[in-house]
Amino acid sequence: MDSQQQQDQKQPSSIGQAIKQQVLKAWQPVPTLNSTIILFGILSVYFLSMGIVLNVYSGKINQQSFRYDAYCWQEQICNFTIALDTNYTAPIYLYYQLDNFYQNQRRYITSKSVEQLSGEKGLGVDDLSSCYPVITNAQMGKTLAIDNITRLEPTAPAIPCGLIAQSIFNDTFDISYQVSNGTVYKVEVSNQGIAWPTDLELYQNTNISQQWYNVTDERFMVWMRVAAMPNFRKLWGVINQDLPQGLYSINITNNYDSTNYGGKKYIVFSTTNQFGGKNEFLSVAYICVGVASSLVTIGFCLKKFFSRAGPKKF
Amino acid sequence: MTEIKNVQIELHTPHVLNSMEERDSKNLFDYQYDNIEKKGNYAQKYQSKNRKITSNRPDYQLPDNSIQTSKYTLLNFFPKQLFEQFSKLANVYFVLMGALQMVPEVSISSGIPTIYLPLGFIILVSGAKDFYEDYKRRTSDNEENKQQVTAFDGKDFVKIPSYELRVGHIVKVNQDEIISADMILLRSSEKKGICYVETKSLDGETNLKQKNVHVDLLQTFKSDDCFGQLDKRIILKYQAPTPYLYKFIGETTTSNLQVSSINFNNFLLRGCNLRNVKYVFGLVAYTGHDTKIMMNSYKARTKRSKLEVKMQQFILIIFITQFIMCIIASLVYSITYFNNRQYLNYLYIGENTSEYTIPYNFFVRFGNWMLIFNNFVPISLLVTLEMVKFIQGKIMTLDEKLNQPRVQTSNLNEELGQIEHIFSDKTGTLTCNIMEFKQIIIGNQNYGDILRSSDDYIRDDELLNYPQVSNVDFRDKTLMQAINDKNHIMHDKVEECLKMISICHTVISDQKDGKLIYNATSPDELALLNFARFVGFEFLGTDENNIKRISYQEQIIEYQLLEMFEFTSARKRQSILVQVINTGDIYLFSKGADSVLLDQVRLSKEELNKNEYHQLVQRLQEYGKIGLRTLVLSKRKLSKQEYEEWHKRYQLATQQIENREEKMQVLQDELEKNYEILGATAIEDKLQQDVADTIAAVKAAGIKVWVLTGDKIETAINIGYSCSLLTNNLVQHIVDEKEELLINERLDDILNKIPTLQTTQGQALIISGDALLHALKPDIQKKVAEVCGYCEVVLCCRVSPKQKQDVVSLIRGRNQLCSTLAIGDGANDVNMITAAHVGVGIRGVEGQQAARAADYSVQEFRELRRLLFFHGRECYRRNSVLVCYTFYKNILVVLPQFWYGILSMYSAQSLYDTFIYQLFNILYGALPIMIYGIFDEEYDADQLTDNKLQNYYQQGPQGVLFNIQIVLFWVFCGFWQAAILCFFPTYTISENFVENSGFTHHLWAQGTMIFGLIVVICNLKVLLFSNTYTPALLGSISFSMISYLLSWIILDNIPQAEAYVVFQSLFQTPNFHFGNILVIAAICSIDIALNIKLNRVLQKVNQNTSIKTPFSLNNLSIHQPPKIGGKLNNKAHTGFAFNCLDRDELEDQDKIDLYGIDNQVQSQNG
Repeated sequence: MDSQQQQDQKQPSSIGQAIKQQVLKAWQPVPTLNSTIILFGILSVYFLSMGIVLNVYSGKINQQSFRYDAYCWQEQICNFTIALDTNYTAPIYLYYQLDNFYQNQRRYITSKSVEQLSGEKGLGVDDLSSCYPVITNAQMGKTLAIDNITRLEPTAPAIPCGLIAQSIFNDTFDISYQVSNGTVYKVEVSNQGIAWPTDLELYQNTNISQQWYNVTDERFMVWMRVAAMPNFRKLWGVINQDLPQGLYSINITNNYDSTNYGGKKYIVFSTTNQFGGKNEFLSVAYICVGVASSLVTIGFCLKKFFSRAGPKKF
Repeated sequence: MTEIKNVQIELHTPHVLNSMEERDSKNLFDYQYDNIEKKGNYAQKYQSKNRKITSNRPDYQLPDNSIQTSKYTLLNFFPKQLFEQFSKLANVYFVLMGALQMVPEVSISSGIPTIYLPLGFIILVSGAKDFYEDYKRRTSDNEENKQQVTAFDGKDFVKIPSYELRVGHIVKVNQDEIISADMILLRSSEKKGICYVETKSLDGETNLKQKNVHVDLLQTFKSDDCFGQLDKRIILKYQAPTPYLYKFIGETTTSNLQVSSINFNNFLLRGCNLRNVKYVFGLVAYTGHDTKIMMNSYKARTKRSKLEVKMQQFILIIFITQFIMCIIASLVYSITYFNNRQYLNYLYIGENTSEYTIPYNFFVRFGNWMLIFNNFVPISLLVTLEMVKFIQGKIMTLDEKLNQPRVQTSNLNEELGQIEHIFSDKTGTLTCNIMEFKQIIIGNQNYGDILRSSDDYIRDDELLNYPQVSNVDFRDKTLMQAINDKNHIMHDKVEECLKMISICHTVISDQKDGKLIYNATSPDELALLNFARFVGFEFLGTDENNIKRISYQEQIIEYQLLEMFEFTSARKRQSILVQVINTGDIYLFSKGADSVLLDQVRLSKEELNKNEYHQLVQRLQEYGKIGLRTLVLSKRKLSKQEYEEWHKRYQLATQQIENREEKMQVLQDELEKNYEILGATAIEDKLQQDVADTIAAVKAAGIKVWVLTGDKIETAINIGYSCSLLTNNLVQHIVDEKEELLINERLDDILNKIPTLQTTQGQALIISGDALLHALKPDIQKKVAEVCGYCEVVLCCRVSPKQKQDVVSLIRGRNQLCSTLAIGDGANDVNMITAAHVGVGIRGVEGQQAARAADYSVQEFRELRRLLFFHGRECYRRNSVLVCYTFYKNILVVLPQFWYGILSMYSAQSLYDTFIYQLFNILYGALPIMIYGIFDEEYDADQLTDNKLQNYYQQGPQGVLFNIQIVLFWVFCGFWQAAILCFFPTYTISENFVENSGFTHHLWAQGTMIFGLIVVICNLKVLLFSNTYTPALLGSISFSMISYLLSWIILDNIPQAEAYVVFQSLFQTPNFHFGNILVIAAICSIDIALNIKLNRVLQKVNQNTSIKTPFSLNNLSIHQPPKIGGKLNNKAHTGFAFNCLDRDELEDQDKIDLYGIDNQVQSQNG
């Protein structure tokens, strides 16, 4: 009996020994009132401060969106005037926003061919089954290539194929600034640097003469990145000049029929900071969590104060 | 095996036909073997034909002596294993899901059956486990098959491996060897053709059974080397194999046409041990799986724990939930689509196609949703649980505080933590099966009750001066003084008493290596005789003329044995009639129950020395109370005339044919009267270490303990006292009636009486096997169950193995939810062990049969305490959490996609990369919970084993850790956490652009963020409910997370993947990190709060179940007999018990056994 006790007291020399004696080294976490207060205290400090920081940063961003589908209802080309409330400093990002457009539909998302988009040659109709239901030029509804001269074989695979490509947003915007004296300056909107660099590497044309769309077009790449939500913004261009407060006229080539999806179209101007664009959700959520955990902390502090008990085990 | 060989007739010794007689015998032996009924390939399985064999002519048609208990062979492992795997419903379900994944319209993984990845892994793992277990069985089979046996090859006895043995071989078995096939006895090294076998591996009894060579065969085989001679050939006709252990019918024909019938007494069974004779020769009659022991071997049915059964129900519920959710989702989609179809032109669905219709959309989406949900039914649960239990079992076997326990069915680990009823065998389980002589009363003196500190105590070193004998624990010098000192006041009485002890018995003496050895069928008698030898009265033996000799103080006293009146359970006494050869005095010595002998004393009670008589009775009661087995010794002196007159009548009675037994009994009773009481003995049926302590602890934890024993009522009660199951404060209800009506009345009587008794008083039911036989009939069963419900303690005596099983089934049947544990050590406990929810075998003296059939086996009863209170309790807790967590984990990984349906019109869009999704249950969320299941400890092992601070055990029987509420709690956690996991990341990174270069993220970025968070939350959750943070746990959590990161590094570089380079871009996004912190903190802090609440609820359960105060155990010490005091409700127990071969009982037993086996056979057929 004595020898056994001695054995128990011995530190287990190896894991095997520890298992045999059913004593493994371990740390036992015991939640106490104090440690809970500390934990929630830290949480509330962090979340409150971060929430405020995020809120301030978010507030510094200039962002305005203008709905235009109501103005340009049937016209092919329409023109409307917007007013920017403040001065925008470059770079200014120009987005289009579609509401009620479900890019996240199963049938829609799967309908593309990664191989084709990355420039793989010689893909037949059979190789592009993932593009179903839009595989051939006929299904795509295209008869002419980009140069508008070359005829496309109706039964040949459409390049690019698939539902996503087929529904590509094709409105264009021409923005001009009106100075109060009536002079109009054209605002340059660059379509370079709007796609993810990795997409630029990935997207390759197969045979530009047989394509109905230029795959290396950055706006195409942006469109191909399907949005998670039915109301989404996509980058259309970057304005590399400051835009002072004032009126701007926008010429829209209205190709994209919003009645097709029963939704709305917007044009959005936004500046940016380290955290991207405006993000109300994150700052509000941070402040909510911060408030909640500080309430818990206060509650536990009161409990500790009134019970005057030492560390209490739950 | 199934190939039928041509009949081979091999007559080894050449011979010449000489006489007419030999010609006859030639014809006799000249026949073709025809022992097999040919029924196609099943020829060897159904042997309904009676057999006819010739000695030394092996029948190669009959199966050989090999046994196979393993399930697989190398060849059939693969197909059989595959079949077994796909007979599991879950696996079939997952295979179907995989098939669904390959349907292009429905697939969400572009036609690749990704689910086969985890499924294959799981099948591989469980296949490997099966292989390992079967390999172990195979090795043990091989070991047994390759055992060497000595068989006669026609010329000589040669060693051959056991599996080559055939029916017809003559085999030589040496002393202490295990008999390797069923055989009839041909010759024994003992002159009278007697041998002894120990049948403990068959029926659990340790006393030796006598077997003898048939008289005719004794004449035939007169020497050890005659087996080759042709005229010594015999023909044996006998039954086809049957499972009846105590039946053998056959007849032999010798070469001189002498026919003799062979019965069970001439038959040796495989598995028995040969004892006390140097060697025997036998003719093999049954081999391999035809032997009685194999035909009685029990095919273990697979047991499943309560937790597992419940788990299956929950899985079914989960599946139904999944089904309903999928229906809802696809309905929502198809209806929304139909209503908004004019706004969904970009989906390019033609108005005339089937895709336009609600039903088509519904079914396709339903398929999609089922595939998205396919992780909802936890694919990994079964295999994780199995692996964890397996390792838990391994760790149990390594526990140094248990003596190398074996875990056969690790499936039941958690069931050990839920036990409500323990059924225990007595002999070998509670007791060591060693009788130790403790005390003796002679006249008014009590010897043996002595303190260690006393001067008269025989110290260990002094013990060497006394004869070295077993089964005696007697340290009182005062008795020696009385023997050695002729003038001592007690000298004559002591001498007379000890002479009586050494003469009144049925023990046979034997010489072995010059030492005197006693062969006793009764362990009590052995203890008595060894005690006599210890104090100087050595029984030398009985010679051919029935003269018994004892040596005492260097003189030899001879007694002529006149008559022997055997012990039966009805008579409760054993008597011997002897004549002292020197003096010619005739004495009748009797030993037996006080109730019988004290009533037959010579003097009326008034005339007795009151003091002496009272002292005796009081002493007996004290002995009884501490569980000693007592025997009263008495003598009667007869005059010569008296004897001769009686003897004539007795002789006459023995020659009667009608009513002989009864007439003899009357005459015996006539003599067994007018006794003079010599004294009484007390023998301890030695309890195993800490039995009483363990029983007390187990009872204190709220577990009911029943003792089921094949012993007599008296013995059982004795043991009940000695292990504190019974006390004089318990009201004992004894039911030992034999007729149904009487039993019914008795039970009614008890049921009426119980309400009138004080509520504080405990009740104990003591019921005999015969009564049980009737009581288990359906109409009475209810009453028995009711009475049992009232009783703290139930003792079942004289129960056959089958009845033990019935009792267990009775309790199981009465309350489906109640878990039972049966513990035993002998083959007679196998039925009970297999019938109970958990069977525990004790690897003790009585062989391995029980241990082999059991789910767990230990060395001693007391190890049960640690097994239940520590291992069982912890396994129950861990496995409950493991199951709940696995449900939770799978909900967590599946449901965000369901919630996301709100934003995607329930179009069944998956959020995750399909491979990453399938790896979740293998890589990212499997290991930590397994480590938890193996190593987590809530309390210190010894504290739990002790179970005294709180009743830690009670949570198991009450099932508080795994029930519908708990599971719902976890499911609820899964639902809300999944909602947070879906929407927080969505609004964090998908609502607007979050890059300072203005880029927007796409769907896959959001999905990746969600999935990463799921991995983190899942793993942190394990930390949240773990009680101990072992390095292994922390390591495994790190492993899970790191392996997730690594797989992304790989996946990020595959352009074909949907989520190509997503991870890289996400990591550059600050909001991704802010979002992660937000989600983790929000979920964890709410979870911590909920967990604290849950723990409080659970702890209340623990605290509410108080422990019954364990009673003091000090009164168990033999040297401090408790004072008799307080109110005794029963007639105080005096402790009579005696074990010996009892003719009546043997017959009974055979009846009972037949009943048992009949049922078995029926159930096998049915």
